[in-house]
Amino acid sequence: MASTATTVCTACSCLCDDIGLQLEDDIIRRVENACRKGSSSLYGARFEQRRSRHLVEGREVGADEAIDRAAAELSRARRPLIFGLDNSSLEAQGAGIELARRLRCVIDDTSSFCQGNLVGQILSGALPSCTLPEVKTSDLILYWGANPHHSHPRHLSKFTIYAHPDYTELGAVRRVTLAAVEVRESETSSVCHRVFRILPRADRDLISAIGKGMAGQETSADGKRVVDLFRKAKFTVIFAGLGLTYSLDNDYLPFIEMVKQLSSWGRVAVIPMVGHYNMRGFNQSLHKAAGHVNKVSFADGVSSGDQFSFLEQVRNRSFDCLMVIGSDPFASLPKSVSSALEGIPRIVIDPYQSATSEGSTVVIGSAVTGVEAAGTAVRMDGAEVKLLPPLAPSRPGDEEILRRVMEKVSR
Amino acid sequence: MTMPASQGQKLPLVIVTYREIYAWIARLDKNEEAMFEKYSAVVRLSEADMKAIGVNRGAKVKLSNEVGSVVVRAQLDSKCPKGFAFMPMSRIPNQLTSYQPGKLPNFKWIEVSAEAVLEDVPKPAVP
Amino acid sequence: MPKKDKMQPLQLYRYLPRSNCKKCGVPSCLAFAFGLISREKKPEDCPDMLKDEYRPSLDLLKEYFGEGAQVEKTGLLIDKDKCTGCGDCVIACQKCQGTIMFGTGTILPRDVPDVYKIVDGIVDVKHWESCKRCADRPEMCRVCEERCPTGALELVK
Ligand code: SF4
Repeated sequence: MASTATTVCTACSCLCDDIGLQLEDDIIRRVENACRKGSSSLYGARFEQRRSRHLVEGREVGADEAIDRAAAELSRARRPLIFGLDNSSLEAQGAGIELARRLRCVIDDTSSFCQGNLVGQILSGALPSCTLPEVKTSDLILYWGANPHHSHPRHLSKFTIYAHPDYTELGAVRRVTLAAVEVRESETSSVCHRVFRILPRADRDLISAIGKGMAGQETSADGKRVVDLFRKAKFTVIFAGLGLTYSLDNDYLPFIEMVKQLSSWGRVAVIPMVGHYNMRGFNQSLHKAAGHVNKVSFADGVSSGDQFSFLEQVRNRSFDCLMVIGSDPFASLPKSVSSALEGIPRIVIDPYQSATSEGSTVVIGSAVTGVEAAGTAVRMDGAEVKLLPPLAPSRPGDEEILRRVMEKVSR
Repeated sequence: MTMPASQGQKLPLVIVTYREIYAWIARLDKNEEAMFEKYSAVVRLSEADMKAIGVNRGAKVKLSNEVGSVVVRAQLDSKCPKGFAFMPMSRIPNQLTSYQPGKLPNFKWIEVSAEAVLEDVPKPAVP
Repeated sequence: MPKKDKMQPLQLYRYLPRSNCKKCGVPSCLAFAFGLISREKKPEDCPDMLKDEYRPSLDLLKEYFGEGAQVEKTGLLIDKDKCTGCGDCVIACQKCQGTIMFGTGTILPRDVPDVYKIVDGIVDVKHWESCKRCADRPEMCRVCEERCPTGALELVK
């Protein structure tokens, strides 16, 4: 039977909520408004060859057996580790954190080598932020080390420059400026009004040049130009991408100083260009539950620190059982690091087959959150968005799996 | 075709990876898989560096460092600064990346040496 | 690939024989370069390009122009492989042809449906008739091409 539906896309942290669908008996026939990434993720849910099945040591089993075995592995382990949850709903993240607490183990997600620190600075109030609808009242939009056309394709047309009421294609007066700080000629920088091209790892120099320029000292040409731009703006929104994070090597102090200084000229807000659709949700859930955004150990009470980051844990082989939920560390980590994971029993909960699920002890195929399973997610600006799954689930959802595992673990 | 004189030279380069839309979605869709294969095994170089290594557009370049090595196709990026190269993030550059404790993995600063080769470019595995 | 990598007629000209022999039916090699861009000519239409010495140039041009491009009646060429479905053109066009500006600077919406729509993640033309290039007095607007970040939209006329 043909029908139509509106859904929320969960392919990136824009969480676009205006996606129109035409369905025919639980199969998507047409996707409207979603970008290429979004439409692939919607169609992908019915791409059976790539979906994962429940496996125990490579043998196909029922969901119950896989869950039993996962619980047994976790109960047996002395120091398990839970990693992932960035592609799960807030509810599933809650269950994951509870499971970590019960197992008294370490829990971390990709944000420890992504935007976690930045989200932490915003949550703790060190950096001012704003919501995406508020961006429509700004007059300077600056992408720093980000290329949204490949990471968040509809960012410009749905939330920033093109969605801005002051943006027009007619007339010569520009009332809102789009600028970028970039190391390469990217899709986004090619449509910006102002582009500041810097060398890789030169972000720190630019920040100090801006600081000098603001203090009225002699500074570089680029520094002067950026300062001029900031001076004219009444409300600046800076979208901080991974380029900035990696260039500063996660040390945001100079950036925070700069934003503080800038705030004396007008309002400034920073929004992290979070990758996975609910990574910020994970940071917020964990912040609420344990007071830290990531890298948390529940071994003695609650502690957090770099030694609990997934990368450090892997390097030191500090765990004897790894549970990965909706993440693919084998594909996204340096080969030299992920090869240290060989030989450690893995439990993978993922809707799709991945490099990590290959050769895992237990694989539990889960429903695709947002397409098959309901829940809530947190957009990059911190707003909560309710997901509207258009398809019937073909597998249990992450939350259900985690709760069932939790019932079975003995600790 | 005759090989340029500088063929065989090893050139130190710093690779900066960036996000490509196909790397996220290739596993979800057959069409996207083809696009991923087309765009992922490439390195974008400046004209001067291409000359220094002795390769033309589309020629094969071997990038290696102490962690590993990969063979990819060279692409011209007219705005790329000399001494740097750009590569889309996928499992391919991850053969070259490493991690120092207390720092982030060097996804955006991979030191390699580049040389022209005749080896085949491996078919990139879907992420 | 950012759109700046697009070749201009003079750049294309450098790959051509530059003999102005007219065998292709146009007066000069530069005119042939323009013909290539508007997709009225194919690289193989130049007999000299088939010679061995031009083999690399021919291969490069063939790869650059691809196969079977379909130019729409407004001169629009959509490269579906390049499109990421960002929707920038949808809104930019909406703000351009969907509004009128008066001498006073007031901007009012015009009552026409959007030209573009993103379907299955790729741009699709929904209403040709809204395009300024289809008006009674056509206006050679290029806003969508200018705003397309990937170079997927090209107006060849
Ligand atoms: S921009 Fe992000 S949320 Fe919006 S349709 Fe594209 S992938 Fe989905």
